[in-house]
Amino acid sequence: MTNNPPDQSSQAANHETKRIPLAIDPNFMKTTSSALPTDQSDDNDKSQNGTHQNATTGQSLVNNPYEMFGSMPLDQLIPVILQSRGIGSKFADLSERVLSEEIANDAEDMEHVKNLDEDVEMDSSDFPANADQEALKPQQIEGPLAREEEDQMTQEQFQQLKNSTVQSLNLSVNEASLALEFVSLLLSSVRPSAANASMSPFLKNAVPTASLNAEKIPYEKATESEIVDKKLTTRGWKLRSLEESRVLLKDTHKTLEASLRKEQNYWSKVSANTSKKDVIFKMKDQETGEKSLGLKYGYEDSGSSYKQERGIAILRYNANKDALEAVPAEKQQFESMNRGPFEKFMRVRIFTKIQEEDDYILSGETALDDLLLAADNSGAEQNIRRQISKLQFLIFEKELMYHLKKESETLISYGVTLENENKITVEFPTEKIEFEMMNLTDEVILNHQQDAPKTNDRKAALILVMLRMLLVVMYKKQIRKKLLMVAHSKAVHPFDNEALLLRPIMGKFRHENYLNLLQKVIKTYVLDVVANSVVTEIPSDYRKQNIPVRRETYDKHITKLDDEITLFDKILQLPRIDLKVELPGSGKIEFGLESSNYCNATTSVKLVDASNATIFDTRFSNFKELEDFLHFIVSEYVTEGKQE
Amino acid sequence: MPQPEFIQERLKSLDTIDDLLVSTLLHASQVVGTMEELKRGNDTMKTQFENHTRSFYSSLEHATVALRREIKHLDDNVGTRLLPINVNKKATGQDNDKLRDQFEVLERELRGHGN
Amino acid sequence: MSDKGLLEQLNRTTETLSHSLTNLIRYASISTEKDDEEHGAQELPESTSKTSTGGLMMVSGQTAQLIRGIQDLMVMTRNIREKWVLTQIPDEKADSQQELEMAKCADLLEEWSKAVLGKI
Repeated sequence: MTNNPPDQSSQAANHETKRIPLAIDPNFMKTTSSALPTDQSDDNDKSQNGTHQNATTGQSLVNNPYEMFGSMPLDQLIPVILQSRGIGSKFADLSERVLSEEIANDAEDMEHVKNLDEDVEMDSSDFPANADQEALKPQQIEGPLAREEEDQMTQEQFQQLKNSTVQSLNLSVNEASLALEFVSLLLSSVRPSAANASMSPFLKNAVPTASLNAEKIPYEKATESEIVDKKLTTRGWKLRSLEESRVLLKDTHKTLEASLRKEQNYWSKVSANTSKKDVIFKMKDQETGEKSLGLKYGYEDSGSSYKQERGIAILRYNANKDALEAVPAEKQQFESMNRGPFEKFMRVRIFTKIQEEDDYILSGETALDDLLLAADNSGAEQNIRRQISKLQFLIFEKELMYHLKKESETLISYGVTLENENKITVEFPTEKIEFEMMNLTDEVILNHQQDAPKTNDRKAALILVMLRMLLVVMYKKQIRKKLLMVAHSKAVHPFDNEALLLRPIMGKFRHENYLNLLQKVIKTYVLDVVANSVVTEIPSDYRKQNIPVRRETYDKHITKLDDEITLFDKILQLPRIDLKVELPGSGKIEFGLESSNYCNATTSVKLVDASNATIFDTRFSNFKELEDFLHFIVSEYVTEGKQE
Repeated sequence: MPQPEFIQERLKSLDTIDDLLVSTLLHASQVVGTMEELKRGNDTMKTQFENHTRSFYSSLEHATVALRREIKHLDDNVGTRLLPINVNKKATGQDNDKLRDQFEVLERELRGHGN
Repeated sequence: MSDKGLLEQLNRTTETLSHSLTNLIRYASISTEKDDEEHGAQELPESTSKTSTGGLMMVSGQTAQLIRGIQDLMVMTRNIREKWVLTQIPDEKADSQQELEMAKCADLLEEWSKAVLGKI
């Protein structure tokens, strides 16, 4: 309500009130706490009186006093009244008689004042609108209102001045007290008593006495020459520092540039020669000590469990050859432990027995793999990849030997001997096969071409190839096991018991030999004895080794692995062959030659007579016994039958 | 079998960034040098000083902008071309290589003797 | 992502770098006339300690900051390089190796069985 424009409200007031002199002069409405009359209305208790504040602002004059005071609670109204009447007035003194007297007095005064006010109004051209309104207002209000305007203008200023004065006073009091503290602290060192009297208790507690001192230092004005000197020094120093800074920056720039070139070169070579399939990682070079990139070339992630070597090589830049080198991480360590040269490869030799001399002659040998031959420098890129391939080859050979050795331990009873840590020998009736790890020395490389081709070279090569392939099959089985055993928390065990490298190959040979022997036995004891007997081979149905149930939910990788593994099933299956000897008129004998561990042989003999009744069905592991048995049944059952 | 094109590109742009950075350093030293000359009272270097400062800031700016672009590339490609942080790369497929090799050798041996 | 961290570090370093040069020049100021006018005081020679500290700050402080900043940025580029080259995902389809031709291999193995026994 306080924001009504003065014009309208005063008019309203005008219409309502017919110049009724008011007992309460709204102009004197001030806050009870008059310390800092505020133009800012932030105090809540002043909200009621905020309306009155507006009265003093000069913009909105008192609009409708009756509204205001009518709604004001009594406990506020009374102090206001008392205030307006001046200090010292008591409410109890108010009575009708007193008030009417006052009114009478005031009416006289107003006439005097009115004249003045009119003059004032006519003179003041700044507030024409308000002045007009005021002329219509009740006299009582009019006078004080006009005066109030000017007062209000000055009142605002007055308030401001008052504020600033008070602030300045506060400030000065603070400063003065601070100064006092300071001085008394200073004094405390000399005159403790005086100081203690003047120091504040807070300071006394915070700072021990006599802790501040002051000296007077005579100020010697610097002489001209000194000033000049100092200036020169400053200049010189700054210049020197600038120079140093420049030099530092330049030098750093040079060194950084050099190392940048080197590094860019390295990176470009690496990026040109490796693919995103290679596993590269950060590695610390053992020899030079600097951090560099390493490459993983071992088969560890592809199913190997060879722990002897780590299969990583550091990619080092060789400034002399301007090429990258792949140096296996353990090479130096290996060679320093006197285990011989780091690079070894496997060689298979076949010796044929010379019956007369009971000695062997070399009849076949594997040749050096192309990878191991000296490179013909066909470009840098080939070089590093070639190096990597070579390293892969070598580690593969080493692992092959390792597994062969392990396997040989179980094959001792079948003619396999471990001659030294680099050589395994397998003996057969007519020949001997040697598996040896050869050091890759320069002589070997040079000499390899000079060997004449021998008859059994091919066989030796075939054996070696198969050995390698079987090792890969082992890897694949290992991968498969890892893939399927996801829930297995324990580490996947290496395939100690599954090494099938030499066995299947040996098995083939031995099986063949046994077969020959069996056929000879059959010939001697059956075919030659019984007329018209024919021996035929029964094509055995491909005995399915336990193929795991093929579930559709298998990952495509697993199915692929399965396919690859089954590819070798025929090679890996236990040898078995079935023979049937038809005895005309007397039934047949069925022979089954099989092996339970590739290397032994059990012969099963089944005698079925003409009426399809099985007479005998036995097994022999000894060929002598087999011979005797055959002799027995033939003589007893067959010929006798004939005779009958 | 080099790294793919994209990677080569990235490496090249990183090279440029490095060059820019190093040249920033060079310009800084030039700035300081010309400032030194100016302090000696040699006012002729004023324009050079301005130029050098300008080139310092411009090379720094180019480097920063390019570096930001590279980081954005990294960000974009994390799911597709790059592995996340905690996974190690495994070298699989080596066994297949070997097997394939040996089959080739086998074929050579078997065929090569004209049987 | 580590890249946000990279970005922030980049920004921070660049800021520092750009300020370093300015500060370097500021430290290099020799003239004191301007100061005299402001303060109205007169002829106080610049103390040697102020000079030497200023000079020292210039060199070891700001210059070192400059160099350090550049080096940090170069380390960052190296990190990014490593990230690209080292942590790529091999593309399964694009680079997948030639499949083994199963039939052919099976035949070869058959042949082997016979050949090794000398039957061929």
